Amino acid sequence: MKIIVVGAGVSGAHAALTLLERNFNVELWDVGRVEGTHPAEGMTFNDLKKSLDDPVAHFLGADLSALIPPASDELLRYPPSRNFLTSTKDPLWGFESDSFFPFGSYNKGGLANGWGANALSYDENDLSDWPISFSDMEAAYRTVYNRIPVAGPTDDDLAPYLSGVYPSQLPVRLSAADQMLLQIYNKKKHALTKLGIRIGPARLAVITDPQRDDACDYCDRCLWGCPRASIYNPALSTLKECEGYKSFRYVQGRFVLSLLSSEDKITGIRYLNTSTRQIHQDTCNAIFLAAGALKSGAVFLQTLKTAHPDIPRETEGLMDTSVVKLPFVALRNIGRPSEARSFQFNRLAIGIVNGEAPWPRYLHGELLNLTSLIYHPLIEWMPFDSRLSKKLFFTLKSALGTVSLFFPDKVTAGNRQVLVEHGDQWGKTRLCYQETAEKTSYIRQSIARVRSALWRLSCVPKGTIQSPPGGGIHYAGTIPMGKGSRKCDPSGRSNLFSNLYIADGAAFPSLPSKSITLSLAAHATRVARNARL
Amino acid sequence: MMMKKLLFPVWQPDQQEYQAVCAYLGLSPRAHLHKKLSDYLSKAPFRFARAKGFPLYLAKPRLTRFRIARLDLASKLFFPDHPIRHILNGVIALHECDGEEYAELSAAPSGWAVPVSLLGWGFGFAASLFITMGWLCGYFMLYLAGAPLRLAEDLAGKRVLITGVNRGLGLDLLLHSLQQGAQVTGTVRNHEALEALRAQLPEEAPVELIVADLSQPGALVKALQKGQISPDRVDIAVLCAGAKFSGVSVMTTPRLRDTFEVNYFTSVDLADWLYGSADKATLVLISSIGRWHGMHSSCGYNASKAALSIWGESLEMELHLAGKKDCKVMVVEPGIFASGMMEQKGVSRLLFTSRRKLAIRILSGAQQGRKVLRYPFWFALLTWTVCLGGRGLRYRLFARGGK
Repeated sequence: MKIIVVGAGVSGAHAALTLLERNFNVELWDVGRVEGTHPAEGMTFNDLKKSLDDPVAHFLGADLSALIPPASDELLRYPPSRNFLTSTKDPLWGFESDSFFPFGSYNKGGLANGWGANALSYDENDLSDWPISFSDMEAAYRTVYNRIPVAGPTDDDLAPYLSGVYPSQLPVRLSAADQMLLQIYNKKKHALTKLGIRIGPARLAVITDPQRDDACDYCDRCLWGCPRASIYNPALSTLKECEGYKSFRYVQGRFVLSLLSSEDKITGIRYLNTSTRQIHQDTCNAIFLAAGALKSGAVFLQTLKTAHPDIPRETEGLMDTSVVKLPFVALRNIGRPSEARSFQFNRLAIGIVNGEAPWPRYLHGELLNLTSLIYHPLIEWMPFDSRLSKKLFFTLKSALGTVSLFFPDKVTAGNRQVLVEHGDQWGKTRLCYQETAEKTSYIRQSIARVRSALWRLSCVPKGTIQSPPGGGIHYAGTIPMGKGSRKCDPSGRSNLFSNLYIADGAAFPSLPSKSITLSLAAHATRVARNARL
Repeated sequence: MMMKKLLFPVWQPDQQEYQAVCAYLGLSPRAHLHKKLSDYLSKAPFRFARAKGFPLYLAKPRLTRFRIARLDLASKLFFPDHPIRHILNGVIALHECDGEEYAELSAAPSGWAVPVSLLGWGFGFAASLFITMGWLCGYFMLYLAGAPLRLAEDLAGKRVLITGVNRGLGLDLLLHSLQQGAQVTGTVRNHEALEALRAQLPEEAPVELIVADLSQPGALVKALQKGQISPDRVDIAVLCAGAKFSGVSVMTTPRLRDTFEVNYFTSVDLADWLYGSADKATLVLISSIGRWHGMHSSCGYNASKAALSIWGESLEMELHLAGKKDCKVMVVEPGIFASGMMEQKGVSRLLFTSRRKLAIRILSGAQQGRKVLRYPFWFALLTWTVCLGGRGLRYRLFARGGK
């Protein structure tokens, strides 16, 4: 039996591993670009600047393409050395839109090459719109937490809202600035709890056990590429596990375009060889689509075009996590010297509990203290002249932080992916997306609550930064679970094709606030485990 | 040759200006970072919004520490696209990536020094704001007062054809056209010159380079046709390429023919091609103030320029008679400027004018519909005075004095 898994991100890696554990032969097809190695293991971010021959080229690119110009909305641009993101100018880029600006990756490991490491599970409330419950997912979550070591506490104020998270590593070390914030939180817990605010150490997919060779050494370079692979990356762990199976074959250089079908079965796969730029076909017995919600949606629509010309070539949904950042100055941390070694990503998480709302009961946020970034966009963003902005920024740096709030999404009429009938040679889809008034209102209310909480934490909030649609990087719901020809059943199997499984976020019928990555892995594991092959 | 100077001085600070920026920000200047900044900002005219009007007026003078402080605050408050914002942002970005420089950049007070510093900075900011507003008002008054004499400097959406763009005045015209937002079609004499120029221009620069050896009859029009350049697409055509054979007798017929081919007949060919179908275009003929007098041993250079000036005027008359009132001819008779034909030596330097300023005036004159440009005008007056002195004086000054 020839089973093909499409996509080597988190979903594809876990679907493949689960199928291998079931003793199937698995081919994993992927474009399979590879990011360069991250230099000078053990060296901190600031030491790296001193040791590299040309640090400017490393951080900004030889042509300074990562230098963010003034008056830009961007606050961070990955340098060319971190080339896991696909440019919209890439010939393989197959999306167009005026209202939705997604990220994509054709690298082995996909977008998880640069994820924020927050590892959470969806609980019963998160899954309230799904045709399955937490108990259906629990076994898959446990498997995934065995595969992905997660650092974090089990008994803090966030724990009641983060059920289904199974940390196996000690929490990431907090900085003195984090500890100060936690101290204030504990002092004012009564008032903050009334506001529905909970704060605690983040649950992070990072190895902290000092006995392990790959344990985090707090080099402060998470964003710039973890040189020790302490942060979970499917390309460096799960896919390596897959490669230990003789029945596994990783096939690089294949960009899947559509599937071939006969009646209700997928019989083949049409793909572009990315080296020769030739289009080929191959046969298969089952397909697991795990190319990411947008690419999986595109492949599905291209398949419909020939298999079912009578069905509208647009998806039932398109969901995106809206991300809002609230910068703040923590007054009590002003003048605190910066720490030489630190974990760069958020070490604290903030939860906003909505006791009365049916969904979501919990809104997830990340409380980040600024450490090792390239700062010029932040300095330019300040409302003073550059000289004063520079001095103020570095004086306040240890006190600067942001709360990033991740807003959930539901399948909404009009938000969809549409096949462009006369797109380019490899097919194109148009992404149509608009935020609902309900979501906008919810965002506004939540921002007000968090601002209020920040004041109570002796932090001065300053402005809000909202990413445009697509900027949240968590996409879902293009082939959601439900009834209808363009949906899949609760096991992830397409309602149209009996041997097509939707193993990634495309199958999610709603997109909860909590970080998606572990749920993607759990969903892929569950789909692969229950597939009737 | 070309890279010794900056391509776009409004965007790129030179070494002294970079040092002033570093001094203003409290940083140590580094030559390798200045080079990177300069390379990056050479692409700025094609990547970022162009400054126009008052912000452009403010961007032109040289940067000093005082001016940087004023421009920094003024641009933050009123002109977010001003080149100074890109310069300051670029300097901070480059210095923060360099280990040693970062330590200098990020130096900050701690403990009790923080509130004291904050207080001091607050007062400093208030004072700077006060000075900047006064300075800005003063400059704005000067800007308004100078309005009648202001040069036109916006070629956005225009296509400019320039011959001989690989060096000298042609290169300056090319760079200024690009800085003003034009799309440029430029000709160069051979492939080596084309490659050398292309290597030095930013990739994003909207320049189409074609090879045309203007000493060959009809070469320019053939090259334009081969390059599928349509006359309708050209708004301004500047015939800048010229030939001058110094030390060659005016009776050396083959060279004389070459001189006239490049300096005169190419213009005739181009005008025929351009005005054959275009109803709206400006032809700029780069003549010479030398067209007013004879010159020995120049193989007919002055004669060719005299012919060009008179022919240009004749052409305009014919175009008007034909009802093509939007087809304009501008004759430029510049004084002496540094070029492959003229070298600055000794006291004669005093007679030379800035090639860059000349280029700006030519482009401005073409946009404003000027018929004749003599720059600098004092040099034209001097020339005419000498001409009034008669042939004897001219002989003594040019022929005998030149021995």
